[in-house]
Amino acid sequence: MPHGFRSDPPAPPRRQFLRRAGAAGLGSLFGISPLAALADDIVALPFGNGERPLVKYPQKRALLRLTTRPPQLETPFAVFDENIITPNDAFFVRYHLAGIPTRIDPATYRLAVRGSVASPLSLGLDDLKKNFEPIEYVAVNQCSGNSRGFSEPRVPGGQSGNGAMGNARWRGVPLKTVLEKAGVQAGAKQVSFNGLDTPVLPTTPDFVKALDLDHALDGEVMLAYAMNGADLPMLNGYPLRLIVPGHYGTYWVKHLSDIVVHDAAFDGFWMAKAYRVPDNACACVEPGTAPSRTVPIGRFDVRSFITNVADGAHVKANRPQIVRGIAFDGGYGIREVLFSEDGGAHWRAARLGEDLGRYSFRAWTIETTLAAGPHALQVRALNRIGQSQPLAPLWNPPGYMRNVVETTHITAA
Amino acid sequence: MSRSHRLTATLAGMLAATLASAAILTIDLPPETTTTYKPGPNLELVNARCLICHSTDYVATQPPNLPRKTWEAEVTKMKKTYGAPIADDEIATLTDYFAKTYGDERPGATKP
Repeated sequence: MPHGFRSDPPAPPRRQFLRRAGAAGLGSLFGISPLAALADDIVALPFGNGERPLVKYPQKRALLRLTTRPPQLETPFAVFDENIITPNDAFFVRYHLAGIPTRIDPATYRLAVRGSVASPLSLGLDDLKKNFEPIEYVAVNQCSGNSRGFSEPRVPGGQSGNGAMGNARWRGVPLKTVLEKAGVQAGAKQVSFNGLDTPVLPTTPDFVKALDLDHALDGEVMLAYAMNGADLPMLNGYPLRLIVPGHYGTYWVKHLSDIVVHDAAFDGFWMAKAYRVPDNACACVEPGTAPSRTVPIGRFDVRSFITNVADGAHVKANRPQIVRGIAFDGGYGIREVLFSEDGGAHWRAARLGEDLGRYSFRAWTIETTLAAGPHALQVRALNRIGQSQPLAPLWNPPGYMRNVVETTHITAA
Repeated sequence: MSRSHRLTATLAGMLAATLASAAILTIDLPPETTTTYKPGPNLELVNARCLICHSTDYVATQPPNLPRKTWEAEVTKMKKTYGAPIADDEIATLTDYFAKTYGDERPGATKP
């Protein structure tokens, strides 16, 4: 079976498509079943050991469970076809350490700002909400290892399908404002971020991440207390989360409680040893080999997906049909989305949807009329600085940053 | 409860709703449904060492044909990087278990 999602004709997705296709004035249907249901509560991602139970967690709808302790939950891919904003109850969950907070009193929650600062701070949630001017923007969060399960050769690690990503409207305080209030001292180099999650053993490195000072002061990095107009769900970092737009989720520290300004590069395990990619333009190496030099993972590469057509679907021939999906990049903004019905031999520009900001998913649609027979649908996005997606997958040992042009094989009849 | 007390309680409830962010948030995580690894050599040691920090699905969801050297690297990483209480002479035992039970040496595995 090719990569992608297996075909299946369940009723609810078809109904869902009918409603939207009707609104578009086009009656013909694609079968939508991005995930193959083995049973009512098991989903099979299309790679070995890809079976995932659908489990409901607090404040969440049923999501694909990758691991139980600590919890790692993946968003069902159909969610990305429902709304350009990923609902809070469908947003993916990823922890590293099993000591996760399950009870937080916002009245006593404090955020420390310390280290190389003139005035160390201890801020409550009310301080942040009342005494700082808020900012708000839409931004994608994506796990570094999103789509790792598709790596070939396979690599160990969290075996995600394509659902370890989401797009939300974040509201909070610019990190810059808070750091300026504390007064960063001359000579500072980096800022580290710790949250309330803790390791089980004292010998395990706590999950602490760092940004260069100029990045921390860019005015966009945010201490977010709201997600899509509501408090953050506990499993997404309640009550405060670091938002690093355009950058992989590893930096988006949850339950943020401690910010430290450093005079030297922070060398904690999760920066110095983990979440590193080959130090070259493609962040890739020959499959099966090791890079000679690595750097901390950074911005998202360009990605795009078809969201309303499943791999293996059977569709009507010779009738106009809408194909749609999403695209995003590391914050430069999507300039163009190209679509092919013939495996990349010919490309046409899709119509872009509303621009919700350069860090957001960008919706796209295109009309196609397919002759009878098999078709390989492909989608490829370009951003505003000319970055795009490779036609063949790139590889690195940790399975990070997958962004190959996705191919959806369908049959028209 | 008297009428005035009910009114007080209602007002308190409205105030609490207004200050929704002041409520303590508590969640109950679903229980762990699998608390042992699959049967294999030295399962007791595996369960004793490899359930301390994470659930079994961390192993069960790995690619089905990882070779022994990958499992050895994982076990070594758990000891040296994550500080798991694994004795030096247990690394080989644990590696052997994972290669034969979850890796490409398990019965029915297809070697790449």
